[in-house]
Amino acid sequence: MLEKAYHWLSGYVEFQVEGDGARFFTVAAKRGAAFWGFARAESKAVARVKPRSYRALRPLCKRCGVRLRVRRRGGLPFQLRRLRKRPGLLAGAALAAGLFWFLSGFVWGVEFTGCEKIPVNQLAQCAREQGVYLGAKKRELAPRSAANRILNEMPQLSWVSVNTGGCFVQVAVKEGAAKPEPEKSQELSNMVAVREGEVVHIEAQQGRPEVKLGDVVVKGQLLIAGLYQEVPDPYGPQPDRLYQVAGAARGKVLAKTYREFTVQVEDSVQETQEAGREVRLWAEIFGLRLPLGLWSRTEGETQSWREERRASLLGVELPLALEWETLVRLERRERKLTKEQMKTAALLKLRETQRTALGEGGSVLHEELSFTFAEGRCMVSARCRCQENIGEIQVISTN
Amino acid sequence: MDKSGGAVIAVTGNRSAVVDGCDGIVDYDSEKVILRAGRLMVQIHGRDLRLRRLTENGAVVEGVISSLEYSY
Repeated sequence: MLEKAYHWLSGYVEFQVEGDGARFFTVAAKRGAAFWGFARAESKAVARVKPRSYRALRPLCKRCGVRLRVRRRGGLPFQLRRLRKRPGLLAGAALAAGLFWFLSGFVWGVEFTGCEKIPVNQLAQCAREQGVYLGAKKRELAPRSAANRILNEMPQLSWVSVNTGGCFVQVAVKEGAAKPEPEKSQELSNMVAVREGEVVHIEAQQGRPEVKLGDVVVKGQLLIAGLYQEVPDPYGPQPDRLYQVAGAARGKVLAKTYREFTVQVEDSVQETQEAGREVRLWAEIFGLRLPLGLWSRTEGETQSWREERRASLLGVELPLALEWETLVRLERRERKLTKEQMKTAALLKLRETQRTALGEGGSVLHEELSFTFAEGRCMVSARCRCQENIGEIQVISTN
Repeated sequence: MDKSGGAVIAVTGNRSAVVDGCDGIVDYDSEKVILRAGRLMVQIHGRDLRLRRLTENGAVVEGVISSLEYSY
């Protein structure tokens, strides 16, 4: 194998001898020529020799009474000589090599792994801002620095690694658990009522409940005490010393409350409507976005979205893409509402107000609505029986 | 070639023979190869014989060698 490679690299001439081959080979070998690849073709001796040695064989032919005929010239020197006659092929090879070198300077694929709760698009956008994207220049890519910057930009990640392998980049992430809010359980506090109501549910997680189910409480009344003294069992042995508890009061006290809500809406609303749309075509080549057309700057309010079609080869996305950007021009128009529409709008606004006021877990049990129309406005008043959490933490200052 | 001036012939099994100190070939075909080594003539008989290499003072013969004969 090694011998074959050596002969191919140094080149060879395969020739046939017409005449006394044995004598010719002996004389030539004595002159320093080395032969190999002996064979017989049409009862004539065939052998191979180096090109330089073949030139030295010519003078021996007459002396040995033989004639040499070249059958084949092979090996690298002859192939290069053939290529020299075809400059286009050489130029093509040089161009291909140059193109290969140029294209290998870009990132041809970015893979994201480890995303569980975070959308891949969000991570891709962040990575793009840090210079890790399809078509980015490899020499401008600093994997370690990019990983640190992504980690800084996305606090929900606990670990980021940007790995490069040839023209492909892998962004591996690990999501971290959200940092819990510190519980100020050491702070002395009570829970008091923020409004009047009838207690229907008590859930004291810390502290001692000071009210019973069915009690009617007033605003500011103590509901769950964080600071209290042991109450001994009146039928058991009495302790010598009653223990004192001082801590934070935590829990939930649901009560039936009474509330009044009043909201009003105008008889006209401002609405945004489409006033025309335009589709703009972009080409993305190695991260460079080129507009395929001429457009003027759009004045006023607009809304836009993009659709992208990326070229792919054998399942690998290439840094070549076509992008359709749809731009919708918007204009604000005033719309008059009918009485029914005003009532619907007022009711919608009322529900929002109720939801905000009652908070999490709160609900309206019963309500009486009254609508009033005056001066182009619709006013709705609601008298409601609600159920809501009326407990509020009141910190006990020890200073 | 060894110190006494004779050719060194190394035969591997019956498949190849390397002749070091060969002065040239006298005749060769697929059944016999006749080499000259000083005053000696070395005749290699067999079948499918072929001269693999020939240099200034050496030759390599491959094939199925059946006998080796010396003559003056």
